[in-house]
Amino acid sequence: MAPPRLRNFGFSRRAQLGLFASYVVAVGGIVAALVMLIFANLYPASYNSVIGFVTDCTSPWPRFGHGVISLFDNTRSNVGSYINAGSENIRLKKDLEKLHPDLVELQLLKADNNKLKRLLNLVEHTPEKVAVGHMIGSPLATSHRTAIIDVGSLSGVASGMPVLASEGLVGRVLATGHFSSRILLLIDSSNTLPVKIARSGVPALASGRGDGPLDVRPLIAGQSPFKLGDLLVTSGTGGIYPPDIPVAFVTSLNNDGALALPAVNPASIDYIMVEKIFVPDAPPEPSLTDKQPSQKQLSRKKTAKNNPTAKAVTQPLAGQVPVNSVNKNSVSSASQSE
Amino acid sequence: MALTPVNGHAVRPIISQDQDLGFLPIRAKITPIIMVLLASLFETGPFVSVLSLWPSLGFLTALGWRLFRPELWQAWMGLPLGMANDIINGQPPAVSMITWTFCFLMMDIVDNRLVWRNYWQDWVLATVAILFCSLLALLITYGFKGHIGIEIVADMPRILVTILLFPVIEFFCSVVDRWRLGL
Repeated sequence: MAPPRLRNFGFSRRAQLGLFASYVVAVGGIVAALVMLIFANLYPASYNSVIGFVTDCTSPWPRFGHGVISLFDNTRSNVGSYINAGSENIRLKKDLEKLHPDLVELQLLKADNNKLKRLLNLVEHTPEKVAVGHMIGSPLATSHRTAIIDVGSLSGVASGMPVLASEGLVGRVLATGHFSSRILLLIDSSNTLPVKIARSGVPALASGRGDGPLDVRPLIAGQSPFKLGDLLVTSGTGGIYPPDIPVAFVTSLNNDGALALPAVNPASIDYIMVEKIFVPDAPPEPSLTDKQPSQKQLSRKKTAKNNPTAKAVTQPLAGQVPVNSVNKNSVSSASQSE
Repeated sequence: MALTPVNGHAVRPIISQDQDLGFLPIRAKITPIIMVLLASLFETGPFVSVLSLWPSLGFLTALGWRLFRPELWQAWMGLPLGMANDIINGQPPAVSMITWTFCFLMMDIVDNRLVWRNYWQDWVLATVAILFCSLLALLITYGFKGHIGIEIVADMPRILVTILLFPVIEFFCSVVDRWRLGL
């Protein structure tokens, strides 16, 4: 078939100018879009209100689809568990017997841990939950790894808040609408977060690659501190993410660091929890032994004691603050307060 | 232009004269746009996927209309459609704007050079356009950061699925086109 020769407007001057003007508009639009792109890179939050509003407008479709999918999924798993009820019951009873000694040991360890923490004068970080919701969908065709959750600013969600599942960290809120928000997943290439190895407390940086695993780089020079199967948890350094949330497991080592698989598979979670943005305290100043702790420090300690649910967290940063100094500090202040 | 009667009835011309294209009914004008917007919306699925296998339906539909009816849109139409696609899928409104409009401009140049058009040629054009736009989008998004190689490899399944789906989408466009023009 020959294409219709409609772009050739013949000798009509007006039509030719119109065509020319359309090309000028197109090229000008590309230039304007480039400017927008640079603007969006410099000020990443600038389009959030627009994106949040459009997320609200388009969220009914993924919400409906998610409802249908979870209905089918529930039916399937219910039927499956009905059929397997007997054998599963026997297996669970066996497991319970096996786990009972561990449970006793765990309680002992917990008590021990609490005692040690009291000795160190540490205040436990209490997660401050903002909202609980579902993960209802995600754009499937963009290289930007985001997802949509069904809670928004009406539930108190604001951009930047960390999003958690029961197994660990999922990501953080990117833009909020009134009743839905868009979150950036950990696996996105633009995502970098400070982590530490749960085993040794060595700090590292984890960044997404876009295809599933995270790239982990150690922050210290020398031998690679990673071992296969190491659990990486958030370090809480720099704020936003509260400390000690599971992030990923190391699956393979390479020259620069390691590859780690996220603890949470974003494809398989249903419920998510949005937490408040974590604001770290200033690290405790290592005080000299001959100097008295300043009045300010004392008052801060007192308030922390009077109000144990305060979000003040004195997290000794791994490898930065020597444990000795913290210990001495707390012991001296404890003796003073008595 | 003489019309040959079929079964006694005169065949109704789609458009009596080329110049009348500007005076199409509103349904005929707006249907392709709505179709592209809906396709952009269906790029968001009700589940989360780690690997991207879902085709870029919005771009595919826009491409289908552009190749099926070259006279339908002028090149600047890539700007609003691309912006809508970006915002619906939660990106800053720039990447699709740039790639779609650039693609439409290239199509105009190709249209002026080529005399004949057929099915295979359309598919080859679409393949080139999809490859080019996907890679350009990746380059724009991640050009200044690491991981670009991994991103390209990770995006290949999606690009392949998009290319293979093009004939289906163009067929769908042709069906909608008949309804749109009241045939």
